[in-house]
Amino acid sequence: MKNPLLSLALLAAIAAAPGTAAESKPPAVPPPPLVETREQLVAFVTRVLQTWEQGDSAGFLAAFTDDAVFAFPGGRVGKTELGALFADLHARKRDVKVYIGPFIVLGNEFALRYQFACTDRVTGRRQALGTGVRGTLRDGKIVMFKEYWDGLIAAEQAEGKIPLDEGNPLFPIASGYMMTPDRVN
Amino acid sequence: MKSSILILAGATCAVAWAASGGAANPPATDSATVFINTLEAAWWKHKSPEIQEAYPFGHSNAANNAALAARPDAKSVSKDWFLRNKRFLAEGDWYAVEWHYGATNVATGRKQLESSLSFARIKDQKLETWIEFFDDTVGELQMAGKLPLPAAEEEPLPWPAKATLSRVYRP
Repeated sequence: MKNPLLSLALLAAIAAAPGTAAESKPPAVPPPPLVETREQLVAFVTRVLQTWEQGDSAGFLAAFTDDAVFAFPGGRVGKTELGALFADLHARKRDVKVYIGPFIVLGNEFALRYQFACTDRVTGRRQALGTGVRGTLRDGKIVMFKEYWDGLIAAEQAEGKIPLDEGNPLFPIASGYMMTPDRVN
Repeated sequence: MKSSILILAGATCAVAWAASGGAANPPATDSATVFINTLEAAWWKHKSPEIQEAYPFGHSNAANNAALAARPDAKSVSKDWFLRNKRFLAEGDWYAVEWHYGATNVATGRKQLESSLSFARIKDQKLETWIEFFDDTVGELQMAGKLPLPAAEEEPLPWPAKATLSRVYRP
């Protein structure tokens, strides 16, 4: 380019233009997803749970903060172990379905009921387990996710003692299965 | 959003609000929050005759509860039960509460102390729905000496924080 002033002006224009190489780089830290309203929180947590159905490990992990705690009846893991937990479940189970129930929400705190159903790859037996969740978000990600469900129901479903009631996310156990003295403590 | 979080024992919630400068945050009138602030400490005394209950071991209602209590073989398995470390989340006429439930087995004298998460619906200041999620194996494993009892100040967790025994996610 023969005109140095024109060259400088052109370079300045390129640098200032949207979509140039300098500006199209992703930010070092991706912005957190928008989770500012009740509806956004419900949609976000619902999407996270649906990653179980899709086997979307990356999507699942991306929803958690680096210091997140995921607790369940059997243990408690941090984010570094969460990928292995996700993979282990899918190695043992197939045809995962989640059925989302109602939420209770205040700000970044939430509780919900949902049902997690899956089929054992070895036995072919299906389980559908009502699950209660208490969780907390921070900066648009999950920092605490605590799942409460019973450790006996799945085995009793596998034995045909308790119906699945798949698709009903409201209760820990199938609707209509009445309490008897056997397990009341 | 009609909701209120109360990470305190129910009876102290109103006090906590007042101490925080209540003028900017008027007391919630949501039925669940009012119930937590007034009656929840003795929640079991405020069940509606129409209550529907659900636990990991089955559903129940007033008629079923009465029938179970009237059985000739009805007996109390546990004694000295208590609740502690309650953590509430309320919205409208629903609230969720986590807590530690402790009890002593009548036959063996062994103790269990497990966390649960319950969902309650309030109507006319009575419990209309009670749905409780917990792992019934926790108490059994504690009484067998395989899981520790959580410390008094420990946050409610599905399994005790200091458990060394583990189980895969959804066996």
